[in-house]
Amino acid sequence: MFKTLLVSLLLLSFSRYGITAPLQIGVTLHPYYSYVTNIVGDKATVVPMIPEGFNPHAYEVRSEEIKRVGALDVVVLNGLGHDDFAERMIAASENPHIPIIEANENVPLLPASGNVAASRMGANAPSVGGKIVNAHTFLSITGSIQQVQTIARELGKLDPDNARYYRKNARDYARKLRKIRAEALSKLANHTRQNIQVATIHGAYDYMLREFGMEVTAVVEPAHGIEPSPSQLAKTIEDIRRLKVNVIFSEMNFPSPYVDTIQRETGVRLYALSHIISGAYTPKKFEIEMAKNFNTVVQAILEADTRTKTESTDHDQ
Amino acid sequence: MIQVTVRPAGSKRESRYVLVLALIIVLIAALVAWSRVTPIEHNKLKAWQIDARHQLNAAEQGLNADLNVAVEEIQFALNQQQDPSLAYLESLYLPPFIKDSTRIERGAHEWQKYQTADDLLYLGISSDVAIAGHMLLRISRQTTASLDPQYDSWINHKANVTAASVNTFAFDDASLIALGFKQIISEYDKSVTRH
Repeated sequence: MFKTLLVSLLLLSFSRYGITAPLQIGVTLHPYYSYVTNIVGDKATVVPMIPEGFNPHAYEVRSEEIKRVGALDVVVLNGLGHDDFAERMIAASENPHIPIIEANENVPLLPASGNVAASRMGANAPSVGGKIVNAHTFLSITGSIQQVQTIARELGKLDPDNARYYRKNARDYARKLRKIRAEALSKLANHTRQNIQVATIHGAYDYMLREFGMEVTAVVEPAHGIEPSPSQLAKTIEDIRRLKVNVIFSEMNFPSPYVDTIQRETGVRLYALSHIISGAYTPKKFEIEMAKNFNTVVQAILEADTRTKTESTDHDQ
Repeated sequence: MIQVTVRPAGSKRESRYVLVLALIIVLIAALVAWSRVTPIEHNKLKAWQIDARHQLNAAEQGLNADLNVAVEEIQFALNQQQDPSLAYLESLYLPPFIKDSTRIERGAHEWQKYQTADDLLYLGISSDVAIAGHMLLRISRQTTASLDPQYDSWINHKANVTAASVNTFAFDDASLIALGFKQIISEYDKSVTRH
């Protein structure tokens, strides 16, 4: 009798309805690890669903990770195409009814871009049925803050005791992120973006460049993560010339011979941005890499503006 | 005399069977694919609504996203009995209220705060509607204690909206629609490859 009572009390102490154990929150991508750790502080545990060193663009689910999913209380998803593997992992786990937080539910989404055909039609080119959206909302401060707000609200519903704490942390984190954007934009006070034609190698930066008041003219990506063939490279160079692009944003892990060839053939400088989907999962990763991205864009704008002014002075003379 | 017809050696007949079988397989596959097609459902917008993804330009999309983000801070200030004035929002580095270098690129809006019995309103009068329309954020004051804030944003591309004319505004749906405002609708579409 005493034993049964003791076991029941122990079970109750670990139950969500008794003295609650900290929430185990699954995340799929590095930015979401940073968001959620900053929201929950020490009141919950954040568990990356895929190990470090795996590329989420081409991730194949493994049994040991599926096993870990069974212990989660909730999963935070990008949900727009960057972590489609997660639902399959959840369905195959011991706990297929884990609550899901759709982080992007309240984010105004942009259409997907990612091939030259779409970019020819402008950034608002209709995707298939208008339903395919750009999944890279995490590569912007505004998109990230909105996701942080949604995640904090939804976590508060699952863990009402800590709801206020989560919302306060979310606000503090949002202020920190906003400062990154404000500081970057303050460096551009007297520099116009009107003469800048931007191309990106991967269609991931539309949300971020919009925060600078810039639109992506072209996405010259042959295929993401795949080494381009010589004919694809030639086509990319031709498109950059034809669209009169004067700034290209590449990615840090793109093969350098490819980048060097584009730079040499077009004369347009490439600036490398971070996609924030590799390396160690840390709470500060997102803010550190986003600050670097913002500084890179600022540098690109300043240099392009200087070049334009020099060219117009030479032209006048 | 027994006559035996010997067909010439060849695979004509077998080839025909294989071809017919292949056609049957293709037909069945096409039938299965056709039967599993789910129609793309679009939210039908009303005449006074506008789609954020396809009907706003880049500047307007940026402004709308920033306004949505600002709601959390405005609601928090209200809950703390603090006035979410424009100066207060600017002190929090909150775009589009902060006068940063994207302001000109996005239409150089002049922001004003208004209040009705039910709502708190932030109206941005654009200096050039060709760059971006006038923007309005409307937050309900009745539900500020709830976790999910009640708000919407509106846009107006008519050049004749001025700060002076706003004093005569009523900010209910019917009045806004009559003035040419359109409610901005953002549709959430999950990845098409999710199940």
